[in-house]
Amino acid sequence: MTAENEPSDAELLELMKAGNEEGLSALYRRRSRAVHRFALQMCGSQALADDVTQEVFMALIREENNYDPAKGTLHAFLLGVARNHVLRRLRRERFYVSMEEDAAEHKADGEGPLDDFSRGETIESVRSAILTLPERYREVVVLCDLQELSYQEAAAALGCAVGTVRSRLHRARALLIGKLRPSTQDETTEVKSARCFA
Amino acid sequence: MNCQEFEIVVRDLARAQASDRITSELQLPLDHAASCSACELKFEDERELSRKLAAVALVESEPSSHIEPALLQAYRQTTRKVVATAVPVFRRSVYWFAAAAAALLMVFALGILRSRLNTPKPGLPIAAVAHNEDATTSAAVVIPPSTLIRAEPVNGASPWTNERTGTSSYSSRMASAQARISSPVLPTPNSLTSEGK
Repeated sequence: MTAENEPSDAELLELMKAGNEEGLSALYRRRSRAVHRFALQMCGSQALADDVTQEVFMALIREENNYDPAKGTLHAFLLGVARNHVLRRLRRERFYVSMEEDAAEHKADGEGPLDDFSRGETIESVRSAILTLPERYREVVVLCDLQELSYQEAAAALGCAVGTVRSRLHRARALLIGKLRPSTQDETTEVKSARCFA
Repeated sequence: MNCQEFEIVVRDLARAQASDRITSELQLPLDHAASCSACELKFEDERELSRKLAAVALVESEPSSHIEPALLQAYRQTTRKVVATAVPVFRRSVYWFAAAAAALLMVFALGILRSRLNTPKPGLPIAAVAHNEDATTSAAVVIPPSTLIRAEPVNGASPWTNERTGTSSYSSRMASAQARISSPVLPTPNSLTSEGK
């Protein structure tokens, strides 16, 4: 990914800790896109993804979470921090997200066969389907399939065992296949209970 | 390979095929999929999903442009704070170092002073110390400057020349001094003065 003459992530981090602004700048330019994309794929909101990206690098500046190279790559570490921030924000704004989930589900159910979709529409439908997954399944799909992390890296980012990542990914993909399957096939529609807060 | 074993590797197989990373290890599951219709259908679903996910993964997203300047600003402030907190610590250590150096200097000066007091200096009055062997304590008798002896030779004369009397007999002076020191009764300053006269 990086050329041999370029400094590694760990070297840039050391530069940054030593007070070199260029270290932070280079590290941000190298890793911010992945962090932002992960946050966007996890929550579906551009504004929230921006906030999370900023918070992740702010945590790095303040050294709130100490990065241990023995536990994994800095890339996986940053995604792990981003995941924690995303989950915290999603729990805080649960009501807003649940509305988005409902809208996404309606959209996925009401659409026709995916083969007829243009590429953009396909991407949108897959994104919507990912957003409807429970968090623990969503994060493994985003990390392993979208961010293309290995099982080991994903396990390091999530702080769990490799076997857990494998089993969750298996379940998540099965759920996604079910959600993305054309609606002409027989599907059991889930009945959701609604509560009136008025 | 049976269907159960195939189900374990089908995701990896689909992901590998989507990214053209089929290895020799994955050839066996491929052969099984070709021979089993149920597994072939499952493999097709997984492959389709992998293709769609790969399309989503290709979509790039950029964080807002205002984030980097804000981060750099925050970083500068944090660095400044670290430097500001580091200064008092540095000053405190300087104070401690200065105090330790001053104490060391005082000890050194006292040591020099003590050593100078114990050794006779040329041109200065000599303090004769008489030890009374019978007594438990020792007493010092200071010879008055008027009777005194200079360590440095004056006009080539013996260093034991009495300035006042002009006596220059070294041996006689030594004998009388030794007699005084070995005497059980300490000579008083008056007796020394009269003897010197």
